[in-house]
Amino acid sequence: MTSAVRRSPARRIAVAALAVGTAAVLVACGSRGPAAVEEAGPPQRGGDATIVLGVEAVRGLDPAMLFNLTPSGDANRMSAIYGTLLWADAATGAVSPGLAESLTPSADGAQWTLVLRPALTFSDGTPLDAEAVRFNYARIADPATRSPLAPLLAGVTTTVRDARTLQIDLATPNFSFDRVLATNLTFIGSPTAIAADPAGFANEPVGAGPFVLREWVRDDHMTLERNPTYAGPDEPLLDTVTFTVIADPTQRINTVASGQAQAAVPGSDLSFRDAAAQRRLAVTEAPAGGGPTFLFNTARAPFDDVRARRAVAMALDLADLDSVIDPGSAAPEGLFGPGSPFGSPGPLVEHDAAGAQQLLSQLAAEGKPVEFTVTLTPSGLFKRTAEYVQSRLSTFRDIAVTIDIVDNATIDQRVFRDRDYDMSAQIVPVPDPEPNLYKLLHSTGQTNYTGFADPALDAALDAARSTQDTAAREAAYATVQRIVADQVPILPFREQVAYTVHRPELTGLVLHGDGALLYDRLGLAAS
Amino acid sequence: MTPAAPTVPATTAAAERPTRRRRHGRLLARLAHLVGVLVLVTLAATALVDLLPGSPAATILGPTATAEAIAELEAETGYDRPLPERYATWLGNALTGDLGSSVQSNRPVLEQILDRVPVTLELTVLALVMALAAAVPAALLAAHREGGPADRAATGLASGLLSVPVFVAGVLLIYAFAVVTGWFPVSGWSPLSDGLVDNLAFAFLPALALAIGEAPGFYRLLRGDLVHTLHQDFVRTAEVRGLPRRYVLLRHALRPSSFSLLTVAAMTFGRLLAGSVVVESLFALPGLGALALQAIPARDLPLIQGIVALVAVVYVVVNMVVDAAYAVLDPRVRAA
Amino acid sequence: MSTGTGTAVATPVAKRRPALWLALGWLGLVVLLALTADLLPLPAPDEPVGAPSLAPFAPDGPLLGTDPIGRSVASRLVHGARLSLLVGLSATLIAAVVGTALGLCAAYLRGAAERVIALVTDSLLAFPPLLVLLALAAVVRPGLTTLAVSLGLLFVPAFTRLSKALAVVEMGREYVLAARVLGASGPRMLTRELLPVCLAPVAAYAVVVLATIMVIEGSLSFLGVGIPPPAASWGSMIAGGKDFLFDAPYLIALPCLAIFATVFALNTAGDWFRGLTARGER
Repeated sequence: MTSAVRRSPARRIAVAALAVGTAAVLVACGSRGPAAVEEAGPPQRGGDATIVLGVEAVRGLDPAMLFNLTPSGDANRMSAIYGTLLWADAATGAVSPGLAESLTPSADGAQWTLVLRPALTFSDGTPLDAEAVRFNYARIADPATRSPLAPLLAGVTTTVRDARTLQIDLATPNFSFDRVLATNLTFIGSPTAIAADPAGFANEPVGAGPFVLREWVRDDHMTLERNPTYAGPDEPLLDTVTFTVIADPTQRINTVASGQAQAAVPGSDLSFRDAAAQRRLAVTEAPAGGGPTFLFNTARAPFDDVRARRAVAMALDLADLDSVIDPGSAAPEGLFGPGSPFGSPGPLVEHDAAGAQQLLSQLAAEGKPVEFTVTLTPSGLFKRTAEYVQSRLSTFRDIAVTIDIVDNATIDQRVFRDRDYDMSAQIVPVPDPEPNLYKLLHSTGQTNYTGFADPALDAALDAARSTQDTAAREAAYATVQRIVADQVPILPFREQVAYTVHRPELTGLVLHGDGALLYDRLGLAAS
Repeated sequence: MTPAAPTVPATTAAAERPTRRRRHGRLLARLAHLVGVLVLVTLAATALVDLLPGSPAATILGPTATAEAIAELEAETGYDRPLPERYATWLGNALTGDLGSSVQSNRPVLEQILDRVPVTLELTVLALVMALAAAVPAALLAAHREGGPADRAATGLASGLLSVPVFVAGVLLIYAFAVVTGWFPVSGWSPLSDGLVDNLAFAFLPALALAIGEAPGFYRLLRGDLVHTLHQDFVRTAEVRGLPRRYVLLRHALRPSSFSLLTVAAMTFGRLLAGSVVVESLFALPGLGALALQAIPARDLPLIQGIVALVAVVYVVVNMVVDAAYAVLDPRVRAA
Repeated sequence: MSTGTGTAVATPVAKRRPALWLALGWLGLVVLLALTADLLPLPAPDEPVGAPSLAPFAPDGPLLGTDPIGRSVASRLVHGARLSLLVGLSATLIAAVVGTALGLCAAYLRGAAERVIALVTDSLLAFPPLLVLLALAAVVRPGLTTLAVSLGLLFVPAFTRLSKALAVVEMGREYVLAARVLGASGPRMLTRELLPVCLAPVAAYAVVVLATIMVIEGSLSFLGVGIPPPAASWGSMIAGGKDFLFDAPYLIALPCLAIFATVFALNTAGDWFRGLTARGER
């Protein structure tokens, strides 16, 4: 399972997605005349593109400090400034090379060899060599840096073998380390710039990516220019890329529709795809697994009892839920998504109102009534989810739901840190089970907020990452899905689709990670 | 969140004005008042942020951080010190002009705030001008024939606008004047330094949305005061003398009726300068409101302190200026 | 419909009879519905009754349609009347009572007390309301009391300024001076001489505050500090309909109309009431 050059499938997917998006627009606007969306011509060198995001990079853009690696947050900015060593397709999770030529595992999966492309330089003129990568990883692992990524490199040693080759030794074998690297360790900053001003680097990032930061007016715009010394796999076409920040998702789409911008990342609500289609815009999307996911606190009542979790999962009709909370979206297919080779499609837990009522009554009779609070953030999607859950479950007997809407910092504190919650939710994109699902479900996982610990589940997750054999992985992940469906520590409740809305003349959109673009592909077609 | 203008109804504000004696003493008292407000407001900000769940250190380290790591960072940055001590430190630094650095971005607080002030200031001035330009003529017209069709229409419209939240008005404005007609940009900002035309194009719709929120309050206030003044003896005398109603309205009634409007406009100025969170986030403007909206969820105490202090200074200073303006507006104040 | 002082002379009542009856009728209806919300043959406000976002008067939907979650808009409007009035009235009452008391004290006592009161009210005015609301909501769970207290607090200074200004004028009047000379006690002066003067303008201003509070209570819910869901208030219904402004405009229009009608009716009724008292004084 190497990550050798394997670019074409991803490209085909992106092109297909673009075609689908275009077709959808054509259908939607069919009555308005045939020229609803002009056929985009071949991209040309030159041009300026503005891309609308939802959140400012308030904390700066330090690769060691990835907190908001969402497409509407920092992922797109990082991708443009740092490029990617490797990148994982947003739909399939397939890893492709970027600034690195390859990342190959040893026979046991405990040692990986990273080979960089020749002649990579940061925009400050210093070389991006194996030593630079080693420096970045050592900085992440250093407790003084306080990087949230440090656990990913715990017990990892790196050795510079030659200028372009870095040997990475893992504490435990992991044949999915390339996915970990491609999603979280793929951005490399200039060691010279970091050493010169460690605290200020985040605000004056220096990378080796396709674009270089020129101007940054906070909460307004960030302008990047083409990096003339970029030595990645493709050649950047655009002269400049400008990121702007608009908090309101509809406004992001309006801004593209009015021609003020060329693309927008509308965020987590899929209903904005329709809004884009109505405005004759194209949509490039990458359907994956996971998605918005309920978290049950399995460490305390009532959800320490698996029957309570099952009852809630059975009581909710996810197709109906999705039509309400996010019109136009669909229920998730299994745990791993529609295109995944793993698991099986269809609902993870079958909707069964009568069965749910039976469990609820049984629990109430035992003196363990299912009374809980659902703690969520005030975003439209989550707020509607909370109200839907409360409203639909109120039609059952022996259940009581309270809603608690709190701000993000409070969620971080109550749910993620203190685990002082009953039920919450989080968006977890799962293009491949690795690394996000491992982190979420393994008892030692970094994001195991449910407190769920099941030796059989741990064993299956570990088995999957310790083999290169596709059949063995399939078997292990089938076990994972079976246990999750049976124990319901989490419940994905809406399909996951990363997408970017754009003007038809913007071409070369390839979604990677959780849905960020590859900036050495973007171009503007001649119009 | 944009509370509508806390409209103080007509008052004979003249009576509240100071006499001329001991003007220096008053100035000193005013300064003491300003300092008092500043201390109270910044102290309250420190205390309130303390009450919120989550700490600055916790937000820096993210949701996966351990309690030990957070405690360690809090000790390092002094956030574990008792509140009075932390406040004293902040106050000491603030007095030397050092407002500290943002917890999130490490950038100096003062620099960040000064970046935002031009946007919010321009928006505030524009919105106030628009609101007054609509409210004053409407109030004059309504008071001219009290209970007449113009009065009823304007008063009804004011009640209507009072019932429409700013975010609804904003979305409708965007749809009509940006999305459908394309007359104005949908969102964003162009600084004055990049040209006046562009700047005004970007500022117009958000300022209008704010003005729509403020104008009804101004209108109702001025109309009420005008009606009150028009019933007073000196105005009646003027009418008896055969002066035209229009002349009386503008020359005799408007000036003495503008006190509460001025007071409220000043209060509104201070409040809008604190930044309108709703309008700034809807139109994606890099103003103070957007900054505050980032700072509070991140528990960015230095930044919150800086914004709170700035707003308090502006508020108190504006009110001092308004006090001075009363004397200019109405000779009776000086005579009192 | 002025917010002016109590002596403002209202238009003769007869001329606006129909408007007055409409206004009183509407207010009566709202209060009645708010009081009897639970007795009415309506579904519970958090109970799903059909497909989401059904338009009003749809053939197979409930009378006023459904909200984005599929709950009855009619039921939510009626229950919303209760919460909106409760929050609006209690916050306004808190603001008016505390504010007027402070204003009268400042006017009567002058000196240090006046300065302290000015300090407190100016600090309140200069403080970002968002922070107050967020902090209060975090300490006490957001709810009716929290909202009423914090929103009330925000409007205290305005009432203080208003009542103080009125009282200061009154303090200069001869009969007040005379009462003082005759040795009237402080409390007696405040309640017998100063308070009555302020009542009418304070009541007139309170109508504006009430409307404002009902509207901003809704915009708070998008920050998570408004009326906690699933409870409905007119303000939170408007906020919840924001994402559907173009697909289902009635979701915003109906509660906006309810607030408008209430504000308008309160104004009309207030003017009539002032007219009555003005004539009584003469």
